[in-house]
Amino acid sequence: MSQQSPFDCLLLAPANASPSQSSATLGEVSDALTVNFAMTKAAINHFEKTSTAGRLVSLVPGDAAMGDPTSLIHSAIAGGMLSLFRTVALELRKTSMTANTIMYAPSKDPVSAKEEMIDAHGITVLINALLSVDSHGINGQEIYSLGGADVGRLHP
Amino acid sequence: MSAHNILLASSCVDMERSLSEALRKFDIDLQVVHPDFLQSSHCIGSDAEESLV
Repeated sequence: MSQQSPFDCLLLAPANASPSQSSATLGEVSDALTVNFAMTKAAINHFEKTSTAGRLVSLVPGDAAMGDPTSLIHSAIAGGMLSLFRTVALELRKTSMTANTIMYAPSKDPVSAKEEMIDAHGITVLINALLSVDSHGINGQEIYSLGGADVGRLHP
Repeated sequence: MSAHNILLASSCVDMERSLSEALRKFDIDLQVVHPDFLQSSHCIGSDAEESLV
């Protein structure tokens, strides 16, 4: 990460496991969470050294965040990321840095089988808002951008 | 020089593509880092998965 150009936002988007992937293991969940933790820690160190009001943003598929019984590995990673960012946000509450999670609606096109977001523009609008200098008070939020699909539902 | 620089940690090329296209409308630069663990994850239907073969 030290080889990267200066950055003011770390955007974490763990690769999604296909629900049909039976080969995914708990070890992979552990690997995914460990690397995301390490990258988050490295980014915070970078922001501290460069006196940057850095932003940490986690992108999590909304269905996995709600707990998908057909995709346990996928949901475990999403749950782990939610917990990680809740803790990090608490740790950052007295700094100029923030940590927020955005839940997106993944594409369900079985033909293309691509891992895309249904509303990428809406997600980037939210990211752009979180990058604003004036958004330093927005910390520890879990923003559901599922096109209204989550309205009225309990959240994890 | 862009107003913001985002470091995206993902090896999912579909995600990277859709985000970079959408972020182009804003004054934001996007760099991508590919953590090793993501290469062993299952990014379905993507070049990342093909690169594992």
